[in-house]
Amino acid sequence: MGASRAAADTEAEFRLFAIGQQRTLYRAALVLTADPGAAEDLVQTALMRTYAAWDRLRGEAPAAYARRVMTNANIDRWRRDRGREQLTDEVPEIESRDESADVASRDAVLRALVDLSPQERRVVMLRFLEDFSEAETARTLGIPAGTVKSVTHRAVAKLRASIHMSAGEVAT
Amino acid sequence: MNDPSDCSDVKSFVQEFDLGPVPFLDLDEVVRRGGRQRQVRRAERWAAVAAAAALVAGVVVGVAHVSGRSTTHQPAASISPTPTPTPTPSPSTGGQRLLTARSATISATSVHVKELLGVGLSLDVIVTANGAQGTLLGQGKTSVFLSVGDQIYIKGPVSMPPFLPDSQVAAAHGKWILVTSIGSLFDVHTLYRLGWSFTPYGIPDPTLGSTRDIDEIPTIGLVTQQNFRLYVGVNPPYRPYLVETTPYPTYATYTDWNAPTSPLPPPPSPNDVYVPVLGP
Repeated sequence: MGASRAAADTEAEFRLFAIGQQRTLYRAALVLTADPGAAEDLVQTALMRTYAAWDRLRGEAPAAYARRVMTNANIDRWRRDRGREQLTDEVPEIESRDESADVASRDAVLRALVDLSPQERRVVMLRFLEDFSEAETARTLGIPAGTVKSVTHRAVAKLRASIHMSAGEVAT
Repeated sequence: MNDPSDCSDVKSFVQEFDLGPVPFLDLDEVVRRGGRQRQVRRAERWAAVAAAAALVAGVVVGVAHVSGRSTTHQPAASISPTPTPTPTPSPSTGGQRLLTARSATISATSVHVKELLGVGLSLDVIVTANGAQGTLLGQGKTSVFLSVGDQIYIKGPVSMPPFLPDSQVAAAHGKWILVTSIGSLFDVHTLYRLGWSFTPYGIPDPTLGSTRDIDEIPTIGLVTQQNFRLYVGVNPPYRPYLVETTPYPTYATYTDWNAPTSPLPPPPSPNDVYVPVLGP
């Protein structure tokens, strides 16, 4: 009785956490994957593993844990799929288009992110969403700080080009 | 140029774009699948405890048997390198080898663990059943690591962003810092926890990989993922000796099993402990 009550409390606590974090996690997942379907899966995986580890997370920051799981799961996913990944000049059809400015803006963001390499997206996520320093990003990804610097430089240049291009499209 | 403060346009680009409708999150499925992993984990824990208990019971029975015969003169069988007459069946599958490695860890009295946690961050500790002590090294600096009373503390200049940023190390003013959110450190909390750290969480039984001699000890690799290998002894007591992961520069070595250890100090007094402010 007591144990089932505790389990119910744990589950309720987790559900509240998941609902509260869903948007934040989805944004990070979109930046990591540039693919709404994959981002959805990544959020689901991160939350599932966070719940599985919930007992061990007492006193920890579960949101930070979930984002860490997500970053790692995305690396695993990329490693698994890279043989199948096809580079193309054509940006995939993101979603049905309409005239809404929001959709156009979202579309522009995803198109910009698609142009980045998986490593560039990981660095962008950590540097600009998580506000990590170069050293923190390097430590988290297990790569040299110099690599973080050059990848950031490259990613920023690409994103700026995309931003300016989409601004031009909107202007015309 | 690459300082985020110089990249406000890019920063707002990724931070503020309209997400649109967030996809439906099947929380029931999340809880169901996550819950299943929790149950598997608990069942595995019980299985390891049972295996460890069986191992201990076997030793006790063996000792009792030998002491019962001690009035008669026997050949010095205890120092003979030959196998015992009724050896424990050697583990054959990856899952069995993993279980025996866990049992060997949990039933040991101590082990020396050296672990590379990431770029420029490493841990060098003696782990016992009741805790662990040693050093944490990062960027040329050294902190003292102490696991005692079911808590982990570090004291010194080493930071571990994002879990323990420089600002929090500075705010500690030389007190012990209570570590609450760094999984790799908790893996060396005690021998029991160490026994559960050999495989990534939620991964099914490992497959057998190639053999390799480590310090002249024949071992075999247990492969749980393409990038993760645990090397365990092929002979009793089937201890773990090395964990390697790639491409991340992460490894852990386990040496000096059952060597004498210094007693653990008592937990720091609450006045000498700083609780870091963490989280999003």
